[in-house]
Amino acid sequence: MIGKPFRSPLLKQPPIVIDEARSIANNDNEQPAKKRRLFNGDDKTKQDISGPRLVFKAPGVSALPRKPLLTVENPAVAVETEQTLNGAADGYYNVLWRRYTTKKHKTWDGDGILHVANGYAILQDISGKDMGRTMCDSPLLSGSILSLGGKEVEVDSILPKAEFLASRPFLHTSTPKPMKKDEPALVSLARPVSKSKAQTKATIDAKKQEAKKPQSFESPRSVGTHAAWKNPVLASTVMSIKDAKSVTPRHNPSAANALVMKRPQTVPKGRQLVDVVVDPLLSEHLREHQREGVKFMYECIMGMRAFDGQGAILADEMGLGKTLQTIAVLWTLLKQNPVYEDPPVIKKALVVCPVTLINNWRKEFRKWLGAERIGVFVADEKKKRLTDFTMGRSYSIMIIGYEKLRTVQEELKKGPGIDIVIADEGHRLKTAKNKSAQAIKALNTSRRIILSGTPIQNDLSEFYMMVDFVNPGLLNDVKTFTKQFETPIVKSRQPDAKQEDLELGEARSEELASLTGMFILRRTAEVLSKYLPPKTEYVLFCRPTANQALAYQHVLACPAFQAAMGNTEASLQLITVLKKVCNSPALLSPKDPVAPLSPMMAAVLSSMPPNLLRSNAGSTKLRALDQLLHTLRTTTSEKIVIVSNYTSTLDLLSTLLASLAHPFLRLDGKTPSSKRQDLVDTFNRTPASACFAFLLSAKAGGVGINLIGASRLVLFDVDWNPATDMQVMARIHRDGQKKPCFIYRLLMAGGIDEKIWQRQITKLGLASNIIDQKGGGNSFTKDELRDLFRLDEGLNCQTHDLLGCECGGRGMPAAAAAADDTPWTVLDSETEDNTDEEFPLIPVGRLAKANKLDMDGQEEKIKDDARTDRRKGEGDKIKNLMVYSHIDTSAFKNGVDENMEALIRDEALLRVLKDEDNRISFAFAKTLG
Amino acid sequence: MSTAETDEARSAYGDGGGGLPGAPTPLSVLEGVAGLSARDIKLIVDGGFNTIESVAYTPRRVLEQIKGISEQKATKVLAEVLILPSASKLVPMGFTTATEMHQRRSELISITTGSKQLDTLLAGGIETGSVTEIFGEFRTGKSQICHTLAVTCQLPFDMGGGEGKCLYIDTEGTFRPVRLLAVANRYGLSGEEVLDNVAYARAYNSDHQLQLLNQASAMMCETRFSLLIVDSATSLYRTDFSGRGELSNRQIHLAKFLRTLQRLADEFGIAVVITNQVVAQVDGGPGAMFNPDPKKPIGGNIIAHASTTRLSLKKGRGETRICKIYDSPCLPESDCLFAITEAGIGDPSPKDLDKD
Repeated sequence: MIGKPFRSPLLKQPPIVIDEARSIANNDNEQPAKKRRLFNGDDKTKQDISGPRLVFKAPGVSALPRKPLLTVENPAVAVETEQTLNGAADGYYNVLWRRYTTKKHKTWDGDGILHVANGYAILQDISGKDMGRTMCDSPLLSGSILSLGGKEVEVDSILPKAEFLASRPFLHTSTPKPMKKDEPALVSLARPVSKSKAQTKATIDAKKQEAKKPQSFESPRSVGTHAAWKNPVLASTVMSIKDAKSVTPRHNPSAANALVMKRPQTVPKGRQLVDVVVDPLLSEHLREHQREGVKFMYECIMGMRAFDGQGAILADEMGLGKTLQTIAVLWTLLKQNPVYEDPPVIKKALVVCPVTLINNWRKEFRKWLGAERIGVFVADEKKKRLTDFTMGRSYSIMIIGYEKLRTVQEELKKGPGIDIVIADEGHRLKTAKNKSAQAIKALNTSRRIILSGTPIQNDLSEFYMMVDFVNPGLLNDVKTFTKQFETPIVKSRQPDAKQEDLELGEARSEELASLTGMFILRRTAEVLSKYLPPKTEYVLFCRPTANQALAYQHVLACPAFQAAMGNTEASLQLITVLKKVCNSPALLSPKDPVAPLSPMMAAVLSSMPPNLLRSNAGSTKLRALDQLLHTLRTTTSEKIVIVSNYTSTLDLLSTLLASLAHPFLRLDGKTPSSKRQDLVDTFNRTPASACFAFLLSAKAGGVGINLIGASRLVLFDVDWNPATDMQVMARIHRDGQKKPCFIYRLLMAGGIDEKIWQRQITKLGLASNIIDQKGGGNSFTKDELRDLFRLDEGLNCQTHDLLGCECGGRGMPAAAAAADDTPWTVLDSETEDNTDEEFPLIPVGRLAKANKLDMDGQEEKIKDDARTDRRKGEGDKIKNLMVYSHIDTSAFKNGVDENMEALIRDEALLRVLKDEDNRISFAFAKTLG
Repeated sequence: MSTAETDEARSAYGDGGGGLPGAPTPLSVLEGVAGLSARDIKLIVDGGFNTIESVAYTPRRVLEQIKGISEQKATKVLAEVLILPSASKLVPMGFTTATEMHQRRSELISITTGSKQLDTLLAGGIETGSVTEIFGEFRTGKSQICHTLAVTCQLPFDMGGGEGKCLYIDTEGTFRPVRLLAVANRYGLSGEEVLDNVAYARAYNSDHQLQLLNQASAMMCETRFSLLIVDSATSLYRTDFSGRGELSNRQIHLAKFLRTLQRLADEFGIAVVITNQVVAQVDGGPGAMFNPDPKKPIGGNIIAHASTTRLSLKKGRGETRICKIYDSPCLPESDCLFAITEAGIGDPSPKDLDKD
């Protein structure tokens, strides 16, 4: 060992109480530890008592190199002098012995005691039996080897005489600690041989103290390597509390702002309850309504609410942070359990959402929980192995699209299974036959959460499907539901409902609301109003251009059109055709001249004068948009989102934007899902000069994505489903939006656009009745809505007239109308029937009737009927529309009217309206927040 | 973390037999039992056996070779160790049911590698209580994985760590604390503490390398460790022993080294990660037809049998690396992509994934 010379300075003197006598005796000596002095009789013995481990400290220190020391003859003067004390010139040694062996690696057979006296060395084994003797005249040192009685003997250490006399080696008691040397020998004798606990304990304690000394002294090491483990987690990091002894929650429940969950009522036998506390990391970001939502979902899932099931519907409006609430719930359930020391409530969670939102979810998880805390598996690429999630341990959350789920549903059942399913935008699961819904049901997960900004979209049966999805069986089967709830409620909402129907409907409606209220939580964006800038919605009615009107009439006049009236499928096609005309007649011309046209399109086109189709200038909505864009671009630095349902319309819009040299981005169904989030991020980041507009397909990007970079949004066409439009509007008006938002909804006055919009209002009335539990106003009557296909070319706004509002387009204080629930009978008394002769009348007849071209004649004929109808329905006029201010834009052209201008808070729109050329004939405005 | 807490942790550790997983029982509990003197204990400890477990796991023959320990004593010590109540609880030397074993394995802690993909491949991360070997050419990320693990092993259990110190034996001189700081930053750990928690030793020859493990064992008795890294377990052997003549010596020495590693893993429940170098197969070998540049890990069968899990690394495009399970008792033979990032090992960016 090369290292040996270095070892000596490191040999530390053990801090042992040295015999008083010896230290005094050695006081005069220069160095006590010189090896030569080891032979000094009793002195030697004593020194070895004090520090036997000195000599044998290192295993590597072989005795061989020290042998020369043995040969040094040392006159044992000191021995003689000391010997007188004991009266004998003897020494005792602990030794190891073995029989002679030729083995290469020799080991020692046993231990013994060597007693040297009078020139003889006597070997005894540890039971005290004599094993042999030999002549021994040279002094012995530990490590020296001698042979006696056919055995090899190696001296291990020197045995103090006192110990030998106490026969301690034979009694198998341990050597007393040098520290306890002052104890009388008797004490150690008195010690029981048995392994008394107290004794062992005392020895351990003493030993431990010694163990504190560095054990490995072979090479100089920094103290740091022996330092205890230090927790490197920063003090600011939120960590779970750990204390094995007592029942402690994971996070401190008494911390300021801690969100503590409700405790379950029952405790499993022999277990303890513990508070479930939401990680402060998340709870510090939660707003009041979000904390409530997290609690609500937790209680539903843990089955703590008074209904039979473990599902919940979180129906908060868009922008209330459903995602964050869900993440908080998941994170809590993944890590905690109200029963102490039970494994967490859930291990694997599945988030199902539309493809567009996959990346958004991933980003949200990363944003709130960071990249390291939680394993989020995104099933978007084909290459990923699903078993990584199902079998692997590093992922606990999987995000998947609805379509993809169907293909992998079988694989997901493998492994431990999924513990909770979150269905984002869950209103997709609205029919029983929906494959995604079936796929989720097949996963056998009792915990299901639906997130939806718009839970009721079309009718009550869809609502039933959602409830049945989260809590199967709670509302009985479909038939019972239809009979018990749907029919009475729908019936009571008809304008001609009888008194008893009304009562029944009311009662059933209340019952349904109370049944479902246990697990449906709905908050409107109003709770956000204190966080969000105001949002103003303008419904702009654009008078059709001459070309457009002509094209519209042509379509209606086309014989194919007439033929298709009876046929549902064909009439749906017709609606599409008419909607195209509303957007722009140019959309009718086939994109690909070679492709075969559907027979109907061919027929429609053949009857159409070709010049009508040529130019986009024929569209009133495009013109209005053009003006709006120009104003925005020149007077503000705000960005705009333009939404349409049709890619062909988006094509048209992109042509327009390109021709105006406005930079824009586009997201539609063709955009690969991996690129979508990039587009959104780019748009939100870049200033208006670099990216002015964002073209969005309502179908592809209507939900979930976050376009807060823009503060204006144009809905270029309307959808049958009001929820789609509401969703789209919420893209810009959501958490994070700093500027006031303006939403423009472009409708072609009198065209199918307007009629569809009227229908939307009906549906919204239905939704707010069930979900928001407000006594909503009623709707347009069925009869009124039957004349979908008519083109009303009146100067005024049909909807406004239909509404029977007496404001005369001078705007009405929206707040006042919304605030009080005064029945409209007041208005009723002042009918304004006389205002205009050419008021567009609503035919009472069926669809076929309405499409007869003889409009004038027809109008005449039904005029009287219609008026009586309207009077009857007047009291039920849609309340929803009364929260709007009604503005007749002609006022702006005629001159400055301070009051009217005050109604339009939007500078840009005001400029457009003041423009002589504008075709906007009427506007509805509503401000929120 | 306050010092009070640290002390508490330490004392909890010192109790031996405490609740902490893998906390070993110091050998000193044997003192005074059946005539074993403090000196005997000392001799055994100096022989490199610091805990009850280490003695229990050692054949008697090895104990006999400790200087100053006779056969008689060795027998006595072994007998005492095996009947000691705390030991029989902690050192299960008898048979147990597969159920219990399954339960125990499911509670096994794995240390995250920093890459979710790699963790998934390894079913959670680097397994504690066993030896994981990582081999590959240079620049395939062996040392980078080691650096990342040196930090992640200190993370709380919650975040996929081992809540213990790291012992790093470096034979190639490639240890760079700066890298540790970068990784610590990523996980939001205090860099200073992270570095304090890494015990580093540079090994200069194969004997030294083996001897360091003795010290390691002593240090592990004192405080909680969760990971032992030997960055390049074989590089010194490659040069310390040369030629066929010394092959057998080399392999015996290497086997001893690996056995000691395995013993530490068993004894302290730590994860052991060793890296290995590769050798080109000049004569081709069976796969030469399909693989123009065949590489295989050095150390032969000794190292192949000694390591529980063997991972083969290959360079991928750009920052990405490919990790393949070369041998494992339970993991399926498959591979995955991970990336070497600024802050240690991570997942490849989607961009890199797309390209493949």
